[in-house]
Amino acid sequence: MIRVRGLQKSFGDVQALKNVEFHVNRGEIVALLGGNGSGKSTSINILTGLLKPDEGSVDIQGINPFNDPIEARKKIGVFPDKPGLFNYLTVKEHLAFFAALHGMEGKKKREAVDRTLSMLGMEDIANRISKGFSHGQSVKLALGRAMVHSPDYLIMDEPTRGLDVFAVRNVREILLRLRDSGTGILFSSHVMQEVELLANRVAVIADGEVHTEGPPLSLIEETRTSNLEDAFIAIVRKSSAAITDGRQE
Amino acid sequence: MTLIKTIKVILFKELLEVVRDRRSLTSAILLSVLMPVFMLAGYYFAAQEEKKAQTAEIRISGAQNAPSLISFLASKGLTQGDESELELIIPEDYRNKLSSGYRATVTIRGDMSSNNTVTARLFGNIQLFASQIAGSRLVARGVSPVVMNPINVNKQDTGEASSIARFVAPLFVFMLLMTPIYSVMPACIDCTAGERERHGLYPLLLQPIAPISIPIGKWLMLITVGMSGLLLAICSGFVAYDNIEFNGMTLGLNLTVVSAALFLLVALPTIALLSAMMMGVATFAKTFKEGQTYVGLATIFPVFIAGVGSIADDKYQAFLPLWAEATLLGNVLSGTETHWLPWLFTVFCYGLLISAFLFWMSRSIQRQALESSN
Repeated sequence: MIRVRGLQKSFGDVQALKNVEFHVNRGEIVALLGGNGSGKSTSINILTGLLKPDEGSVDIQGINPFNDPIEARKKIGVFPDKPGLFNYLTVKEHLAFFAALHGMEGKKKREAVDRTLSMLGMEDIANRISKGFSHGQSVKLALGRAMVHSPDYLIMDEPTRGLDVFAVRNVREILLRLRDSGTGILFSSHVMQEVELLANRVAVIADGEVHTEGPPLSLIEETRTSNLEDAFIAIVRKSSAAITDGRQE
Repeated sequence: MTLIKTIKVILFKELLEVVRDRRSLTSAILLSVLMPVFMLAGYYFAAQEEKKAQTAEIRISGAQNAPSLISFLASKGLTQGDESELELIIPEDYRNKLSSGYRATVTIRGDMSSNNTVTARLFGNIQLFASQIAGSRLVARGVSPVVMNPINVNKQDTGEASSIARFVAPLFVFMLLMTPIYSVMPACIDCTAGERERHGLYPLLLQPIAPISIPIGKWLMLITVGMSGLLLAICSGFVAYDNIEFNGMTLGLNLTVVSAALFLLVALPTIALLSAMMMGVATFAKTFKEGQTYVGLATIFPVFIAGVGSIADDKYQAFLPLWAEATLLGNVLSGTETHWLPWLFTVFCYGLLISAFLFWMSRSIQRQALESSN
C-alpha cells in the first residue's frame, strides 16, 4: 500500500499543501481530483521522493522514499505530465534503456520490452525514433516507460491530457488491464468523465487539502448531485466557504 | 544495480543519441577535420608570401636612368614587372646628380601595408647599393670604406624553422588542443540544456539510480566525442602537414603515430576538465538557445588564455592552464625534453575540479528537473 499522511509543503509564502492524506491499494485506481494549482503535482513530486515535504510522511510498501529513494523507486512507475522523450531513441530503445536502469539484462530485458510493446500496441513503430511522434504516440511511450519494469504502483500526472478520443480510450483500456493484473494506480486529473470511468476511489483536493475521499458514486450521493462534476464543485465550494468562515472567526 | 553499470547504460544511451543527431555529429566532424587544415592553409599562404618577397616584382618608372641600380636589384631577386602594386620612381636627373657627386633621390610608392616585406627588401637593397657607391668613391680618394662602416654584422640563423614557422608552431599545437571544445559544444548543450528543455531529465531522476550517475554518464559521452574529435583533428592535421608544400620551411614538429598517441594522452585530462566545465555552464541554461549563449561565452576562455600565453613571461606560462599543456605537447611533438611531473600535478588538480563540478551537477540536476516539470 502507498500511504500519505499529513503532507505539508510551502514555497516561500505560498502554502501548496496543508494537510494531504490518502492511500492507494494494489489492484485499485485512485484519482486525485482537483483544479489547477490545487496541489496535485506537488503531492506527486513528494510521492516520488524528488521533493521533500515540510511535514508529513510517505510510505511505499513500508519504504520511506526520502530514506531509501532507490528501493522506493523500484516499486513505482511514474508518468509525468510532459512525456520528456529522447528524440533519437526508438520506441524499443526507450523501453530497453529504462528496463536497464531497473537492473534488467539479457532475456529478462527483452521479454519486458516485448511485453510492454504488445500491451501498448506499438509493435508496428517499435523501431522508429521518437522525434516526430504525435502527442498520442508520445504519451503511450511515456506510459510504457513507466510500466516496463512491472511496478507495483503507477503514479500518473494527468495521463490523458491533450489526447484525442481514440487515444484516451486506448490509455483507459491499458490502465484497466494493469489494475486487473494487480497494479495500484494513482492518477491526477481534472477531467470528470475520465475519473468517473476509471477510478475506484476519488480524493478531492483543493487549496492543498484533501477534503473528501471515496468511490465516485458515494461522492455524488453525499452531495446530492447528479454527476461527479457537480459533486466536485459542491465539495470545493463547501470547503472554500469553510475556509472563509474559519478566517472570519 | 551498481553505479558502474548505471553509468554504462547512461553513457550508451547518450552516445546513441549523439551519433544519430546529425546536427551535432556533422559539426563535430567538420570542425575537427577542417580546423587544422584551415590553420595549415593559413600558414601555407604566409609561407607563400615569404617566398614571394624573395623574388618580388616591382614596377619601375625611369629604369633607363639607373641601369646599374636596376641590375643590382635584379641580382637580389627584385625584377621589373608591370603587375606590381609597388612602384620605384627614378627621376631623369638621377644619373647627373650621382655623377656630379650630389645626392640623388628615388621614390618608392604604393600600398606598403600589404607589401610590407617587399618594401623593406627594396629599401634595404637600395641602401646597400648606395653604400657600395659610397665605398667605391672613398676607395677612389684613397680612404678605406671601413671608415664608413666600422661594424660588420654577421647573421647566422641556427633555427630550423622560418620566422613564420616559429610563430605558427605553438599556435598549431594550441589549436589542435582546442579543437575538441568546438566539436563537443553542440553535444554538450543538447545533453544538458536541450534535455532540460525537452523535459527529459525528470523521468531519468525517477529511476532507481544514484543521481551522480547521470552527469557522469553525460560527461563520459562528451569526453568520447572530444577525444574522437581530437583524433580526427590530429589525423587531418598530420595529413595536411605532410601534403602542404611549405617552400622548404618546417614547423619543426615530429608528427608520428607515437607522438599522436602521446598527444591524445596529454590532452585527455584537458578535454575531461573542459567538458565538465562546459556542462557546468550549460546547466544554468533552461533552453538550447540559452545554452548556446552561455557555452559560447565560455569558449572565450581558451582564446583569452591564448592571448595571455603569447605575451606572458616564460616562467608564468607554466602556470597557465591549457597553455602549459600546449607547451608540453609542443615539446612532445618537437621531440625536445619534456618534464612530466608538473603535468601529473596538473592532472591531479583537474581531477579535483572535475569531481567538484560533477558533484555540484548531481545536486542541481534535481532542482532543474522539478523546475522544468512545473
